Amino acid sequence: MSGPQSAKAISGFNLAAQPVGFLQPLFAGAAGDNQTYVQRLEHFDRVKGFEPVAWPEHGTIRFPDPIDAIVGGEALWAFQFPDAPPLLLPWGRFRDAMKDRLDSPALAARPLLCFDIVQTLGLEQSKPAAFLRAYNAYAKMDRIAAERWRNRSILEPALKEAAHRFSPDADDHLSTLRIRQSGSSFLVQINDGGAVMTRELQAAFREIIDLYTAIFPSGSTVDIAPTRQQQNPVRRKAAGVTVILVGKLSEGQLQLPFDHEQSIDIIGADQADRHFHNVDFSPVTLIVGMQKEWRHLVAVADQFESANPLLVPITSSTAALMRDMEFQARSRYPSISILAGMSFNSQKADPSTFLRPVVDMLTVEGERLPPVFDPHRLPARHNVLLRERIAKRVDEREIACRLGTRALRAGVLPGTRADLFIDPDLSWPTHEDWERLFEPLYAVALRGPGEMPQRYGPRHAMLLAERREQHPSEWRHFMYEGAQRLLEMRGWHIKSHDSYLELSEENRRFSAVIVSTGDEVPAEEEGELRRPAFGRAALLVIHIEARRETLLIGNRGQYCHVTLSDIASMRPGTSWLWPVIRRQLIAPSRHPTLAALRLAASVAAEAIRLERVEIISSPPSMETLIRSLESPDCERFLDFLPDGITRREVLMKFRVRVDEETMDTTADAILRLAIENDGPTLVID
Amino acid sequence: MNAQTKAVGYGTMMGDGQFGTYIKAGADMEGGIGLTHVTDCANLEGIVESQKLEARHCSVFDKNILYLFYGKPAYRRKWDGESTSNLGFARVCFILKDEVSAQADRMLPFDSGAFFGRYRHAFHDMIGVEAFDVDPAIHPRKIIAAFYHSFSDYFWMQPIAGLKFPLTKTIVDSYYKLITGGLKEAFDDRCATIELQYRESLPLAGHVAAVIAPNQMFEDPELLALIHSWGAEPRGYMVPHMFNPSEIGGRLYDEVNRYLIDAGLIT
Repeated sequence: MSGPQSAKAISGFNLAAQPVGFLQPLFAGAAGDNQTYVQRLEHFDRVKGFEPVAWPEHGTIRFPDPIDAIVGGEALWAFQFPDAPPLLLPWGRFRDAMKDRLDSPALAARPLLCFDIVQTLGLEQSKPAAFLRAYNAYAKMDRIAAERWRNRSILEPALKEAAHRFSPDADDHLSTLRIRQSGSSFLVQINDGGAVMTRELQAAFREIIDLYTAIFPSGSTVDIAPTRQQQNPVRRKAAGVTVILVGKLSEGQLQLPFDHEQSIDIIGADQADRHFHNVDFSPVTLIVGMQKEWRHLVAVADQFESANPLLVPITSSTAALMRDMEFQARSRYPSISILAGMSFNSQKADPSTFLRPVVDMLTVEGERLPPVFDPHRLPARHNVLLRERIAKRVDEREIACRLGTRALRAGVLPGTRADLFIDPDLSWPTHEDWERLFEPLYAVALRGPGEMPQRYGPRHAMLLAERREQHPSEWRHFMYEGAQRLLEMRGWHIKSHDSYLELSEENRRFSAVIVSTGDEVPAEEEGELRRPAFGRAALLVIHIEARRETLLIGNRGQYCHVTLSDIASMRPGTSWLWPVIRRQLIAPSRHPTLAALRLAASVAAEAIRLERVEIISSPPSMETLIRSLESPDCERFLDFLPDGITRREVLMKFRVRVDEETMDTTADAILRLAIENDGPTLVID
Repeated sequence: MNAQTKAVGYGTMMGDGQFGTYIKAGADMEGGIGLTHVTDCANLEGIVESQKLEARHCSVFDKNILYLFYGKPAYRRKWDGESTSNLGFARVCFILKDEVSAQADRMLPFDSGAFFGRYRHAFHDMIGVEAFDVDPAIHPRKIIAAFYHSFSDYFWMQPIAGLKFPLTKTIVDSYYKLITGGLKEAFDDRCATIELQYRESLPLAGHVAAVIAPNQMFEDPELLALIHSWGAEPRGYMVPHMFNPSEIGGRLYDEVNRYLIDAGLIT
């Protein structure tokens, strides 16, 4: 801001509000503007410019004889003596005038004000005596206070002045100059002083000591040292859990994390070095990244080995991969794998979704940890964590089966020991009940309710189990075994025969085979296609792996086809087939394929036969409709509506046809097929 | 909604909002750097007489409140126009012992006066000052630990760089942007100075660690005797240095920083 080149000192501002002391001159612009200015000083003696200020509300004293000042000229200084008009003079004359009045009665009892005067005005000859008086004024009360005051008010400015004379460009460094004292030993700290500066400061120190001997301890010595770098007198205490994000995960949405009711530090791998410079290690350090970047995870873990890292690879593959074997063989750190699904995008997804289960498991609500367990208490060195949402209408056995199925697919072998975590709910089964549910498949220990943090939102059950290396040749064997045990978990009695199983419950008994490829499916009787068997099927075919189309086609035949995932819905004593068919056929993500259309047609025909049909208008000939729906090429009469398959139903359009024998005609009809737990329902509109 | 209606009365703000919960659950550190109360030289006489820092009527909260700041000599004043500087009396800074923070009735991470005045618009209109309440039972250093690596970084307003917060922590994120200059407007140090409010006046005896004032003030034998009785350290500075406008802003900060170094509280 450019001010005027000249201004007139008209008043003084008594900013210390004392009857005796310096006044700050206030200026009026020479051009007659109404603005008030103060002078910007250069070394106290020169006017560098004028700066506008607001007129102070209090503490001004009018100068009887205003004088002008100009930029570049001598600065004006003012002083208030008691019972006298204020003194206002240019710097040189002001110095002389004040020097003459140092011994005046007004200043005689004011050693600290005198110090300000001689120090500000540079009255060298008066300094030794004035410094001593001022020092003694402080020392009368507190020697330490006096020494600290002397060091910062006398020694420090003197050293800076000496150093400035030696090196006028060193002001930036000089601003960092600080003095510490212990007895007669002084330590002068300054940034980047260099050897020459050090010698210069040492010489200046000796000169000052010699000049003001009376206020320094005898035998004073000095060391010059660089300023200590931002050393923290304190280190931050670590959060209960530190999460280090690695690779693409840290480049994506670092907008983590969870609710901070839990004590978590989340940092990128590139920040970790600096972080741990200031912060202690947490009880638990998670190193989290995509599984395909496992080498990077291991490298970061090596870097922070002392933090007892726990690796958390996030994988988009449901099944264990060869990469897992390589990772497990090469990593000496414990790990918990998280399955994130095929659609996981490491750069867009919020990793908190996948980290939350781990952190929930490791932490308790509210205060800092300790964690529920330390990494050494993991079930195994390499583990997988699976989470299943607890829906109100789903029984606990189904939840257990779902978790078991997913665990099998993820490489958790039957018989493995596992930990189970359940969001607390007192209305749920006890520890023993939960452990018994899993008994056929895994040796599960329930981590008790109360150990899990109470959270808002959906509740979950989580299974933490060993993810063991598997050879592909072993995989099929373990899945067969796993399928049987899953059926037992679901509540079925199993009797094993050479080539098939016998499943039974109180009122039902049927055979089952477990297959891993389509070639292993027993052939149906040849001949014309008959009605699908549905609940009348004599054989259950359990597919270890199967495409949806295989199931849809199969279930229009004589056997009932399910996958491992369907076993959770096979509740004994119920019409379990219909929930299974619904799961295979009806869901928003289910594509309206030809196989889906044909199975939906057969299910619609079954609904008519079961008299679970509602006709709203223009009833077609039921006989024609059933015959059309059950024909092998039903697509000649039937098509999906644009909405096709929704969350709850299948929408189809039945086209007008003329019966060639009877010449009956049917109008267009809309078929809305839903599948309830006890059977299909059809609305014809 | 005006400032008065936004301000919440005591007793209803326990710091259990998003910001307070974040601080409560966050990391901690060790030590403490005390509190400050800055006033004009002209007010010193009254303080000497009463020997207490008085809770005075606050028009924002419509209550008698004593304002202290944690560690930094922030000065609570009215916001005036920016075109010209105000000349004020030389300032006196009482440095209070760290344990005084435990007596606070309310704690905010910034100068609430400036919130209602100047940087209120830095936040969403629906965010009132109470959204930033932190349980006063918590030590103020927990706020520092959440956003700074050290007391020194807090003092010189050097927050940890690159902190990220989830979208659900908008209030925490807004505060972080405020102290890191991540907002459209730039604000002075008061936005990053922890404020403690007291409903009652605070006796000075036993609570003062140091008094920073113009050298000249310590020539008053009554004041010296009081400081001595408090066990506090008198720390004088030269008033003429304040004549140069460029010196004014940093002088008191410099003096407080030197005290903290001398006392071994920061490096």
